Amino acid sequence: MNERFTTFVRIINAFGVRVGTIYTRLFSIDEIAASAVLKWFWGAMLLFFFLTFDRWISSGLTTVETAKRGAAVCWPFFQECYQWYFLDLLPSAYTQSIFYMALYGILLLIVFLMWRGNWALAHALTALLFVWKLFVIFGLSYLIAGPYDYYHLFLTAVLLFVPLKEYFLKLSFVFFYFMSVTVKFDSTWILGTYFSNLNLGLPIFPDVLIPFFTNAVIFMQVIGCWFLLSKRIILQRIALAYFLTFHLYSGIFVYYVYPTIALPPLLILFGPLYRHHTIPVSLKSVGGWTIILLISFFQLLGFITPSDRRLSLEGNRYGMFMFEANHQCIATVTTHSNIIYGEEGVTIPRAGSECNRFYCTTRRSITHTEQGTVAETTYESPYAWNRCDPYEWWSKLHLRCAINSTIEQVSFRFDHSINGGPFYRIADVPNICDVDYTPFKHNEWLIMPPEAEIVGYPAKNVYQ
Amino acid sequence: MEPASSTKFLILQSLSGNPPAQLTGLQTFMAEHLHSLIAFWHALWLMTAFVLLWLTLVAWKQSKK
Repeated sequence: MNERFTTFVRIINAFGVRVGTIYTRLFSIDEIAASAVLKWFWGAMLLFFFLTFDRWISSGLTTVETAKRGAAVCWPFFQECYQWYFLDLLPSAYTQSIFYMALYGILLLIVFLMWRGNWALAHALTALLFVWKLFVIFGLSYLIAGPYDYYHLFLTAVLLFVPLKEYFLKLSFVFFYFMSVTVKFDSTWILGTYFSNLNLGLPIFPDVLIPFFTNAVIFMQVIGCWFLLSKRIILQRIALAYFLTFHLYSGIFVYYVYPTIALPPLLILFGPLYRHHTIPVSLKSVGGWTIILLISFFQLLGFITPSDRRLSLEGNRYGMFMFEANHQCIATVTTHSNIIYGEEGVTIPRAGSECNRFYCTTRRSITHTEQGTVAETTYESPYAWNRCDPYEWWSKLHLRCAINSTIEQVSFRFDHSINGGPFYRIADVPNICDVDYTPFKHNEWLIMPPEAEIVGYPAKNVYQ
Repeated sequence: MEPASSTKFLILQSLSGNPPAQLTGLQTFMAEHLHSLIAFWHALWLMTAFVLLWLTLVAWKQSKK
């Protein structure tokens, strides 16, 4: 009996070793084991997983409660994503907290396994985290991610899955700069009107210098970033110094999250441990080049829709969409219900009242009619970084129509200003429950200038 | 991502018909040449992309030797 058990354990062990060897070879994990740069980089990616889950543990965007309220916003290509929600937030339930604390435990376990040199298992667990993040961002919620999360996913994919990891991490990082600059080729950055229309302007520098700095940023992202890969150390260090300064400066606007996906990788890949690589073109490099092509494709997806995506936001969440325009918007939603509810009257919050959301309610009126109740609510967003996305409204209002049988009609008006320009009435729909939203083509109910009516002009706003 | 709590909202002078925000002298000058500037940056980006592609092809040819 003892002998049989020992043989069984030996067979399982041998099978495990064989699987581990195949797994290690498949994902070139030996490269990580042999490279200080890759180990540090892995740590940087784990740090960003920590930051991600720290945001998500308390987020209501993917909870069952949000789905029940009809407030879930899914991607246009998967509009029933809320049916997959299974977690809930305090005070409704502990499930989301339990889930993300389990992921916290996995993060700690990965660090322990790395310390013990058990790279294959650490890799497998990191891959699990990667798959979860990918699923949440592209499956469960349209709103939960920022471009920094896309950076994180691509970089983690290169680290985990392709050979020649160090080279392709460096190339991917530089390529992000080169691709993300494609959203800067307009007045937002060339004239610098994004920043000149902020109440506080650019930090430290006067408004008159804005176009110098914004065009310098464009130049460095088109040309200068490639010197990060240079074999001439002086040029490489100048490029490094510039981008270090750039990301530190940008943190004045974006706080800690974005610099944390940019600065540690920048220092690890291009700092003290930097070495020049020749361009690999071999069978082994196919995986890496595929990811580079995917980054290009993902960025260019955002340009497919033939409308000004800064105003319509059609295709905006594809690719790196940082600082593409300074947004302000006013949304007016009029709900016609067949029941009587609420107290008739008009409520206008006092000027300067606290506002904890992207959209602040600035007016609410309730009228009782013979047919039921007409509730009109006006929301305003003065925050430059809030994308003023009509699709977000379409999605929430459509869901509201679907789950609330007392609603007969929801009219929607949307006024949008970018970079201090006029407020254009880009949507004026009598019943948004009747209109569809189709991805990758222009939706006719969104009206663009010059057909869109100018309804006013904005004051200078704030970044956030 | 939701902004931090206790953010105060600003009343927008949105429908008052006030004139649009003023541009600085340099911005006004650049705005008059905006189309050319946009074309310039696009051209520079495309040229850079072609140069990079050419360098990659050169590397591929050299690796075949």
